[in-house]
Amino acid sequence: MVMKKLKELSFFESLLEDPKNHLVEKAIEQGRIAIGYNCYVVPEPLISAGKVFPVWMRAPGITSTPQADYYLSSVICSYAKSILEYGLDGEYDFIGALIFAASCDHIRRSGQHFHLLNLNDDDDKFFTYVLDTPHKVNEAGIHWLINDMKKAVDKLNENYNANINEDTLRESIKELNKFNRLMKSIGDMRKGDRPKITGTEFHKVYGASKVAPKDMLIEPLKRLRAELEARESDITDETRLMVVGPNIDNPEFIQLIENQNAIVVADRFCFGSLPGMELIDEEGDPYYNIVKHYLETCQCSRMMEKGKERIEYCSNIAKEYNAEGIVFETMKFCDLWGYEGLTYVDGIKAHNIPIVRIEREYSLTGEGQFRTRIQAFVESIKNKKELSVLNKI
Amino acid sequence: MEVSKELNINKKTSVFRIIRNNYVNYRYWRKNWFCMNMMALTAPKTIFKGMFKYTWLYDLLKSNIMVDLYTNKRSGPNYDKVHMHLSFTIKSFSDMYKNALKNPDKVVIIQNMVPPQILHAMGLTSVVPEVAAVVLPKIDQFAGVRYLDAAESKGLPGDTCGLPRLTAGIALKKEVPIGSCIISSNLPCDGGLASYEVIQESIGNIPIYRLNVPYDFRNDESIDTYVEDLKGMIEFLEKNTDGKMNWDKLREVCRNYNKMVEIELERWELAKAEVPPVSNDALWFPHYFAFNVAVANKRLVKHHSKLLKMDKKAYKKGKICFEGMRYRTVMWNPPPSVYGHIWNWLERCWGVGSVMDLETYGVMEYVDTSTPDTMLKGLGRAYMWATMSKHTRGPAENMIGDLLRAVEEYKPDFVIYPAHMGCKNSMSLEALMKEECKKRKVPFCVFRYDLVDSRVTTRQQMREQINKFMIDVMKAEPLDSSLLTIDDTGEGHW
Repeated sequence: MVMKKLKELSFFESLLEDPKNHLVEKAIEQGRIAIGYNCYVVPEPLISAGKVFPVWMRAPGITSTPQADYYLSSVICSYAKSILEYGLDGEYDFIGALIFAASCDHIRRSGQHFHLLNLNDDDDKFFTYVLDTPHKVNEAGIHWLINDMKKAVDKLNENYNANINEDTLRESIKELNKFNRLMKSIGDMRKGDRPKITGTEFHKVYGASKVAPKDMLIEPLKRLRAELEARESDITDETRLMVVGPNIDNPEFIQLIENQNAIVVADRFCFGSLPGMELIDEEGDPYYNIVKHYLETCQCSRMMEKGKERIEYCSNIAKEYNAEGIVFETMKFCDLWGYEGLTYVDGIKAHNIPIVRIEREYSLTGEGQFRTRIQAFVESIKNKKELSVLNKI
Repeated sequence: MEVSKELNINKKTSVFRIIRNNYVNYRYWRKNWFCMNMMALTAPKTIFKGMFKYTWLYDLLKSNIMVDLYTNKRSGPNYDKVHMHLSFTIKSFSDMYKNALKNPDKVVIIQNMVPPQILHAMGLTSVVPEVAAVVLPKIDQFAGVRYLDAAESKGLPGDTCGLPRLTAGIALKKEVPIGSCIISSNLPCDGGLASYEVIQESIGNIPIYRLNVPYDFRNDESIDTYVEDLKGMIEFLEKNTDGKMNWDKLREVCRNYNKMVEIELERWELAKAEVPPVSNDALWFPHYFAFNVAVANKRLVKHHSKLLKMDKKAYKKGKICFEGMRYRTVMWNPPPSVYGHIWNWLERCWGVGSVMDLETYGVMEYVDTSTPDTMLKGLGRAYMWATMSKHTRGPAENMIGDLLRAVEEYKPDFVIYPAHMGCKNSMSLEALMKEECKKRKVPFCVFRYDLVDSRVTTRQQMREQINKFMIDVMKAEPLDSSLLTIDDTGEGHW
């Protein structure tokens, strides 16, 4: 699969090279405050209101984590360790605050170390805050999280005069909806028989939107969409795959899958777009709307009452995007996704969707093994397809 | 501080002690068999059928082997207390499983750390699947292997915590007793939370209620939220079982619970003494059982009162918890289940007594029994602040801060940190705990292990790590050098 290179794509690619990319630098120069976050359940509108903007914590190009190994031990997931390693190396000195959620044991401990090791301590205003996101959705939990979010907002207003209030939150929701409509119009291009955008390209574009202020991306995104609309698709017989699992923020993973005569048409992983492009209710209490939206749409295995819903969600997405198989990737040492596999794999098979389970690290190690597994999976789907055609004859 | 430097054990005492201890051992051996036989005799058909379905029941029959491992050649007040408590536990478990098998309609499967008091007040029987996972490896280090293999062959990574992994394995082999519904929670960790999806599916998708404990439970708002959740649980139970909430019964349980708290606090105080009358599993096991698994009834209060009486008697006589105690320590992580009797070895090989441990040290507060709300609030607090939830789920300051408080209060010669490789929450704080102890000039002994699988780290490998620390850091001589290396990699009895 060789598609004509998109001119606008290099702009998005450049944003993923370094945590402090040129748009982040520009925003900071304008007096805006970068807020580090690392989970879907930290609501983006909350940290996009007023003077603040969100930056998804990543560690692009990291190869080893010696310092984080010492503090977090060798049995913690490599994503949690990698962002701490970058924190210890000073790569995140530019963030004004780190707001993370009590998403999982690993992320909690990693975030706590930013505080315990006094990282960014030179900046008097810097703080870390753990959002106490419940593991289930009910009214009591929604109100609990609203109160917690308000405490985080108070801290941001107090330390940075961030101007976050109900009005700016409403505005932030509107802006995000507008952005997501635009993003979805690009994401939907993956649904057709001949997608005009590859999974790798989309992942780069979507990923860039998580690491830079969204308002600075609207125009480039519009130009990209125009370019895509005029683009001819070269995709013919590639096997259409969906990728499911925890965090992937390195497009090389998707590229590796697509190099095996496949195309990734749907992405249900942290840092992916499903869920991620749904619209938030703009009427009524913005806090309530935000919390309800993120708790209800979250499809992470941390949500303890949604196991069966996750299987249904993925099987519906697979149908909607016409995916022929699912790559279920789990991060080594991740307990939540490790357990998820016990019920998820059988659940997906029951929907007659082929699935392969692959364990990986945050950085692209074990590339050969990963490639071989995908190759074999793609071949098995193709063989089955050919066999069913022959049977019909 | 070498507490028993002056201790002299003369030979006459030793001979008398051997005869006495053998008699005590025989008495409990007989009692334990009696309890297990009674379980079978009161419901012979059910138990007989159950043995085919729940194969771990066979392993429970080997309980007296575990008692031997725990008590063999031990001395002092700890010996009697451990015997007494193990016997009490065997009887309690026999009763629990007997009731569960006889009255399956009344059974509710509850996760470890769900308050069983509430179910008891509703006239329901609770079965905690994790109990089998804790007990089996203690009885026989390989008894859990078939369940671990079942979970791993289904795709569960071997690096997850062994406790929920073994429990999931029991469920996958369809050996969790059937109940009418399940109550689980997000405690104590991600593994515990996630394992109930597979447990529910394996036992036929019966209704489940999931309790959500807030991350930071140090304020009143979090307790109020949890109380609302507990009310939701009661409503769920009334809808899905024959149980009805009886607040008077709950009041009675809470009053008993308060008595238990009183006893426990006294025991903690006694453990602080320069010549401690209680330590190791004589302190750890009763707490673990009473505050994690059991419902506080009169029998439990009576049992603990007896333990306290024995502690006090020893204290008054200036009798140390075991002969030859040279070092006091604080054990800051769960002891390995596959080497449940490590206390025995620590006492006899190195003279080490743990006067406080992570699973015991927590918040002991009385439950206000004046209204239903105050009772739920009190129980809610007790479970939110219970050891595993407090240290593994809450902010890092809980685990580190409590360790430093325990060090301050119990003045250990060193801290012993069993590094359970599946516990991400504690492993990720090891470095900081070590650094804090170093600042206070308290040596920090780390030994790595897998909680329920001795194929990962054998018992001898655990011992070697401790031996190295004792020789290199503490510059200690073993009390009995024949115990430095023991061949118990098989099911050997030492």
